[in-house]
Amino acid sequence: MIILVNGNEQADYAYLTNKMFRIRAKVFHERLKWDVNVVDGLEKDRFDQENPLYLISVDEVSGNVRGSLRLLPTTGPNMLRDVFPILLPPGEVVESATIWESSRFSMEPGAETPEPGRLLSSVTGELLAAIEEVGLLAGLTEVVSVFDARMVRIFRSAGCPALIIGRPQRIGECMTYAGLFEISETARDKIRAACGITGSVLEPQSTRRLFAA
Amino acid sequence: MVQEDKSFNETIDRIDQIQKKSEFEIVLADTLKRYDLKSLAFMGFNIGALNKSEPDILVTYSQEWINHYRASDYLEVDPVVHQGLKSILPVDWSNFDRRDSRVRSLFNESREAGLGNQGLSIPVRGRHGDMSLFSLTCEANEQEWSTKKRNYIRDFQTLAVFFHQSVLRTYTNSELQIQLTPREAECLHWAACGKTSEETAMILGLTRRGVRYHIENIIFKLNAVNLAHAVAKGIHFRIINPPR
Repeated sequence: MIILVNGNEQADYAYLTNKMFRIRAKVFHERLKWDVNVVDGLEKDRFDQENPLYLISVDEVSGNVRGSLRLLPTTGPNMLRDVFPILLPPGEVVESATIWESSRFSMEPGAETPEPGRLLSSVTGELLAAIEEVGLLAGLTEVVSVFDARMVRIFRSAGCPALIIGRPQRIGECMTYAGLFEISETARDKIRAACGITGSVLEPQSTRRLFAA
Repeated sequence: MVQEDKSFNETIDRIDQIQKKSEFEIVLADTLKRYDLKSLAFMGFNIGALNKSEPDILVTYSQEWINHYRASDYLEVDPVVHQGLKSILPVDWSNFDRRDSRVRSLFNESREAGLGNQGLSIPVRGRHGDMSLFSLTCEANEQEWSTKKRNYIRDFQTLAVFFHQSVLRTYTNSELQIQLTPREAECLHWAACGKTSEETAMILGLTRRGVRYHIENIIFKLNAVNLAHAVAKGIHFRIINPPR
């Protein structure tokens, strides 16, 4: 299930958020070797201070954090405009009330391996389905994201290919893309079908607490 | 659906064309009618001057209600403001915890002041620490609300951002425009033309000290750090228009 946490509630949800930052350190620092800042085993950047919305995947049985991503409105500070403008043609920005940015999509190493008979792991499916659900609740039309080749394959398997915008660039060791994902009931249902998900993946209490849905 | 789109597009255009502060209330009142609402409220933070303590407020409801709200210190307990500014997600008022007696009186009294029984708030985040909360209320039973809410969120997510940007544009401009006296504007103009205070004094028939005095005021009023900064701001906000 997915628990929603606001950036400014980190202190109240320290267990969940610290686990999340720890997994991010393992994924982005240790495995992908991105140039990220890790302090005490936790990976955080300046966008974590912009009160993003975290979508955290938690194992329903064990309570363990399995993965996460974060959402930021494109009207405010965000990575595509402030860190990766090179991915878009000069002078072009993605800035819309109905487009949010997803970043730091990550999961516990091993959790990205699909279960037998599936194209995607349950954590990947859950996170993607959650983006669609939250997007629909917030009245979004698209989510924009900066991602690498590994993610392109994931999105294809999930039945939600990204619309690549701008020009892919080699940044460090990876080809890096900016892409738009449609937010719609159709897209949500496609992802659910591809990942064997029935019904909402959002944990009702946290959803109610934040969105008051 | 076609009708709804027309309404939406017209509202966007109206908001986008706002030039003066006085137009906001008219546009809000128009939007209220178009969408069959009971109230609309915009609350902006860090608009214009950063770290301003008071939010900028534009509303469709009565001054009496505003006064009563202030006198009762409802800001302290108002879940709309507290919950609305916490997250990037829209907030549905029907899920607020109303066990606190002051919160209950706030909502009961708001009904008497003409606000609807259902409410929705949409937070907007700008690029430079500016943020706002756009709230609407309407009259609807629970069933109607679940459908209406979805439509409102879809349209007002965008309308709220346009409104925010319109306020930002108008406030930052007009606040500065009304501040300079004609004499100050003249001094700034000649500074922008490359004149020293001595030369400006000669052109305007003032003493050098008089010009310096005006320039200090200009720097203060434009919240600039020095005269060069004030000139840049003056051109940017079109207070002066020196020859190229």
